[in-house]
Amino acid sequence: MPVSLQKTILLLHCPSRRAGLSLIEILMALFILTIAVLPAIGTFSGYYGVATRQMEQEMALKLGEAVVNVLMTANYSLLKDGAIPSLPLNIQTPSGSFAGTLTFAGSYASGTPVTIGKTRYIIGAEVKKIFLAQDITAPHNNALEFSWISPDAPPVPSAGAAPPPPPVATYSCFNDLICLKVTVDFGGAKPIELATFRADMAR
Amino acid sequence: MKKLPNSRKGVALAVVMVFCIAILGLVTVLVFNTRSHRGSHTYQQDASRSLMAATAAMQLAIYKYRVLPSEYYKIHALEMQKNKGTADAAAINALNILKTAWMADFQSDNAGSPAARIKAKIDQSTGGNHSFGVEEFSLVSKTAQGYTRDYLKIRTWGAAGDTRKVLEELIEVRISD
Repeated sequence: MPVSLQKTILLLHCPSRRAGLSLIEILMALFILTIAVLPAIGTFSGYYGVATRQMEQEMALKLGEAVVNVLMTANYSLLKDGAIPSLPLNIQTPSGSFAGTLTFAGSYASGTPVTIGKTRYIIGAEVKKIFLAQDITAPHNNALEFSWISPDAPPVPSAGAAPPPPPVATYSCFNDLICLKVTVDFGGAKPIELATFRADMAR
Repeated sequence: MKKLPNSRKGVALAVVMVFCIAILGLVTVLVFNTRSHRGSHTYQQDASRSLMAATAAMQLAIYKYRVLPSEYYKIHALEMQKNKGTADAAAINALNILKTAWMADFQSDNAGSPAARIKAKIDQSTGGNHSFGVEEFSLVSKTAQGYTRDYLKIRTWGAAGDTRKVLEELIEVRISD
């Protein structure tokens, strides 16, 4: 075989060194890419986690507010005495409308778990008497008391004497007053806790 | 065979470096973005708690009006006199004292007030720090053809952390002559 033909065959079979990349170049490129991509993946993962937790917390807060609204409109007398067996929970969620119940066992209640996406929200509620109705026959200090200054003018003080303090009257409330507490556990570090006060408006 | 000079040497590295710089830029933006979002967890919770505190203040204000309406009407009568310009200095003084006393019960910052006692119970329930109060408590009348309607206008505020929310309600009331 002539030498020129051998060279031609060799050139056809061997890839050109000029056309491609060297192994060292590829390895260096991969190494640099890895250094750059790994923190990026970590940051993306962290960012996704923060966004997810934020969304879950927001949803838990909205659910909590919705449950508080349900408790604010429930029959007061039955609610404070723990005599409500259950309350309907109709909540609009991003996944559609949710129809569940808030089942009471005395002053504690648990709601039907709400599942939105992959997260399960467990609702709990507590109705607690924080002020007791005043009892004339057996007065106590655990009633809510309002005070006001009598509009009647105080007696004119004699010359040189210090003016008397304005007369203050108090009114002790004859109603049990309650605190509504709602807890929504969504698997986060700490469940959402919301509490508000509800007064008896039946009078 | 003549060897040509390799003009593409280092192109891959250059391309990779450009990609790396782009990725690092993206990472930097994301890191700062994530940091700025971290505080919003607390903000959301505080916003909801503020709303609950403002609701508590609203309940308290309505309840006080329901159990002590005549005490409020005394204030209202003096206020009407003042608005008509028929109130003397003593009446204006009495109005200021009565109104201050009426509103004092609604402010959770007033130690010993009903609002402060409620705040303590709410704080105890949630482990948070709430505060609330009533900004405005007034009777407004609307006169139209053949009728006059009276409304109780109550504006309350609630705060938790650095967040503050305001609630306003207009409740129709009937004032007997």
